[in-house]
Amino acid sequence: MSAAVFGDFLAAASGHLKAAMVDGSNHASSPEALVHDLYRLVTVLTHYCDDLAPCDQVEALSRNDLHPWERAAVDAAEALRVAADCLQQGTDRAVGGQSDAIIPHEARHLVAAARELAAGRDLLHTHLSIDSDGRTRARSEWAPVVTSVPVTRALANEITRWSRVLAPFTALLAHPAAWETPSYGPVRSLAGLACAELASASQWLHVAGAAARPALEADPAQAADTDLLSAIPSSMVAPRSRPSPGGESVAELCHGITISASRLRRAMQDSQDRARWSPSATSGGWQWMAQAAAITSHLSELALRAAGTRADQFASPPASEAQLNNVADLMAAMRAAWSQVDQAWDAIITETRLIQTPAMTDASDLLLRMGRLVWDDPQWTPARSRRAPPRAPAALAPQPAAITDVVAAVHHAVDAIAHVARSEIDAVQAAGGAGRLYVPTRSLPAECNVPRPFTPAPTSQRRALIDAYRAAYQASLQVALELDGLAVAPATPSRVLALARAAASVQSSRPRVLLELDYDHRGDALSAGAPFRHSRASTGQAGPVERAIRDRPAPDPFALPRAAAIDNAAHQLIAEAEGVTKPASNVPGRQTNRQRASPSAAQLAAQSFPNDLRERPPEEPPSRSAGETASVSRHSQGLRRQVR
Amino acid sequence: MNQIELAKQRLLGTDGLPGLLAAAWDSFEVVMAVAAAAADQSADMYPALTLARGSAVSGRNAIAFAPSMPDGHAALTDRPPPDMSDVYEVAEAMVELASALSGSLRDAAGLAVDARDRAACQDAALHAEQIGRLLAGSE
Repeated sequence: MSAAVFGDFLAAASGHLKAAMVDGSNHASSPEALVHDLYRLVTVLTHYCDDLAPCDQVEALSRNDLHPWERAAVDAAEALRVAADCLQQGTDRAVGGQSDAIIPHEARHLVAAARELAAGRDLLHTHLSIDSDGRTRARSEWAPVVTSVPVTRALANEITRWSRVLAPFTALLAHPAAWETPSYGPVRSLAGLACAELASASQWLHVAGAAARPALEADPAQAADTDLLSAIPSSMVAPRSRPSPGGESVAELCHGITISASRLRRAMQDSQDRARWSPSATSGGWQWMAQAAAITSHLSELALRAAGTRADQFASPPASEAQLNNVADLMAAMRAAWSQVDQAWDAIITETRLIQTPAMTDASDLLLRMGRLVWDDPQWTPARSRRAPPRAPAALAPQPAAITDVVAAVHHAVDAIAHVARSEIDAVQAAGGAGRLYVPTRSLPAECNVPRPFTPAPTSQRRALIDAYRAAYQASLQVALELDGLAVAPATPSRVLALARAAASVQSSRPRVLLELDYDHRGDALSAGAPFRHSRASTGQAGPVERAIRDRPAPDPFALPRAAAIDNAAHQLIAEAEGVTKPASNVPGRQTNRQRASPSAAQLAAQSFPNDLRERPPEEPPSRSAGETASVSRHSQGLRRQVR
Repeated sequence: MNQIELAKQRLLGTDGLPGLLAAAWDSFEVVMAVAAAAADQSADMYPALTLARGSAVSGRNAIAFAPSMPDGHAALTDRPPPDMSDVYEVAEAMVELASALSGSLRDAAGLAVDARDRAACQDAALHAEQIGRLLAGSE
């Protein structure tokens, strides 16, 4: 069973709306029920526009940086809000006339349309959350797509189109003839008032519909936008699909690769936060992921070359042999870049060693299936790779369409690996900033005489590691972009990846999604050029004195806590002099969640001596403060209220 | 005598836990270097050689946690690398070295007095066995 996507709800809602328009064209009975359900539907549409609008109408008047579709959303939201008010008034008047009406079919369709649209909006909201500072944060890799201009354009276009459909429907309801039923005999005055409100609501729905006109002229909605909007899945992770020990067909292998890739992308979410404290974030795990990425790149290269050979045998293949070989060449460079990351980890270690993580499980599934796609052995594993027979190109792609499936599987795999690279750059930097990276002193040059088995990793070594990751990210991204080019044709299974990547790069001016924590802007009271801008107590990063110690070939771990203390004191002193912060003693018992806790002397000392996990209890994740919990709870309640 | 043969000889000729740990460290480093060089020579063996290299890094790092690990620095051998013309032969040689490593480390774990030495030897022996499994192609 495939996961629900936004298009499922949109299509169902459209079907119900169409049915309501047909059934309700004569408004045969119970107009008050129709008005009530129309009100619910318009309210949901208003919430959609509120989501898209970066500001209110008053602020929009003074802004010239809004995209035409954002301005359309602002105007439509305002008009829909007034229309909803009118419909509510109309409902109140009508209920005054009759309260035990039989609910007609058309009203049921309106209710169903509202319900489907509300569920679709819930689905979009699963990709975002609000943090304790009120900032929108990404909860999945789809978040930047949800907040992109193309999705804003598609959604605003849909909402305004619905408004244009509902306007004449409401106008029919506003006609006094619609209320000419036996039940309204004694209270015709109330029905008259309802008609007036409905006429007004119809006018405002017209206004909402017309709000899109300038945007449609300036930046017409594209079919690809709607395709992308429809393809947005919920942020729920698909269940793991274990590689079958009995073997899988090429189609099953390709499908399994897609699932593993999507799970891997999700597993990388929040890895940066975990890297600072979690015992499961280890040098062994990071190195294993780099090896898995290199092997998957190697296997993908072989798959593309086999697909290229097969493409040459078809009259009109979906991609030419030259195109596929070109991408395969880039994959070889991607493999080499990941091998560099792997080797950069040879001399760096964390205080805990390899612990299996969910991301490793998914990367392992991905690797196994890619291997079984390439080699003609249903039980292939790396340990069974010796003299494995390659799968014949004709068996890999019996029909031209199968070439598309193989390319899509590779596309998904490469996209997931690019995600891994991007996430791990941040995670490894965070681990380095938290003082979790060491080198075994035995691997240092002989002139470094350190009488301990480990010493903090020198800055130059950490920098080389990060540079290797950056090169791997660039190489992975380059392959992903090449595959985007092959996948843009309609009906290509991985087309949505290409559309999503293109869309995510064009962000709307809604509250920006924080895709990554920017250390340069967190809890940092001093200006960018200030000396001692960073310190362990303020930003959690090494200050200048600590960096100077770390830059030595074999930094003395006993000197590091002292250096950090000097940086902390200097930062505090300069901040006080600049008047940007009060001394810590002035705010007893209070620590804002933007400010990092100063590590205790014990924590600083612990940074100097990595311990095996078995020798110390696992650390607890940082607990959520009461304020954060309350904020999240408020947000959840708000969402529930909005979709009701 | 090439790097692999020399490493194996040193491993089997050592006496005492510190000497064995130093020789094991060097043996894992030899596997790392040879596997990295051999990986690019064979499309089918690339996954096994890459993961075997990773196991060698993990095994070497496990040894570093042993308190009996002597101070000092890796003994960089000036011996030539093995002939890479037949990757399968190179893999076989590494399987034999991994087997010797695993056996020596298991024996050392049985004799070690310090629990941390025992744990380090057992952990490293597991990684050596993993190298053997990956390169033997017998799974």
